[in-house]
Amino acid sequence: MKAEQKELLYNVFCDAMEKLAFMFSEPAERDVLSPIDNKYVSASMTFTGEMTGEISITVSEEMCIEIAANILGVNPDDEQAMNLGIDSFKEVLNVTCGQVLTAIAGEKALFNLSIPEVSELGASGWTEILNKTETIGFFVDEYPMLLFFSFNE
Amino acid sequence: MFSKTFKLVGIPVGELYQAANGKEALEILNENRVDLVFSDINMPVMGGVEMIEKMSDDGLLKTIPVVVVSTEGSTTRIEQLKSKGISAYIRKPFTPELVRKVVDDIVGGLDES
Repeated sequence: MKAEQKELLYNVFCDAMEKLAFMFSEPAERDVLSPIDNKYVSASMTFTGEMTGEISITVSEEMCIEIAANILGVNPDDEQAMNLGIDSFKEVLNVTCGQVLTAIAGEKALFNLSIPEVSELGASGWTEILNKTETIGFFVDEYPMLLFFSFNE
Repeated sequence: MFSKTFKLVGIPVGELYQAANGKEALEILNENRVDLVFSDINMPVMGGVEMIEKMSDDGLLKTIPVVVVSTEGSTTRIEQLKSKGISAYIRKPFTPELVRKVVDDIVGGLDES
């Protein structure tokens, strides 16, 4: 991934997390993002249009609930946060995808976005995504997070 | 999320109906009196554009204002939606204040409430 695209992804993602979930993100190097848990969730979606590709975000299950709690303005142990963790996580991906595509392709470009899909992963799944060249890492309020973005023009 | 947003900025809501997709929303609209619709574009089963088209074909439903709330920033898409008669477009992520302004512009009277 080109350095300028990487920086753009960092900026767009950090802005989306701050505005949507009131959470602050900072870029992290791969070597500090080794798996520390065995329960992760990954949300992914595809896009077609001026570019075709895929975007995904991978976090721990705990982080999913934290995101929901922040978006809903409740405590992480609140039933609402527990129930809406996955939906909130999909929403973060959806917003990030829309913002990234506009930032890269411009405001006139039209895309068709798929519905976000979520899958559960173990530590090996996390490592597999971490090792992809199109993946960049973050710490979001001290939780590790992986953002994968791949496209063909 | 909208429930929280309305509370945050003091938008009085009598009843808030939630639908998982456009099909469910049309069912709710056919069974209840609704003053304002907020809809995403990208939804499973039936997306927002199809839902808006079906509302436009219905003599009663076409009078209900629709605000599209979406992550898409394409001006081409926004123009397409405006040509279908939507009342406003809010891009995610949004601020509660923006939602209040949009609701006030459409329904009016929030400052007096």
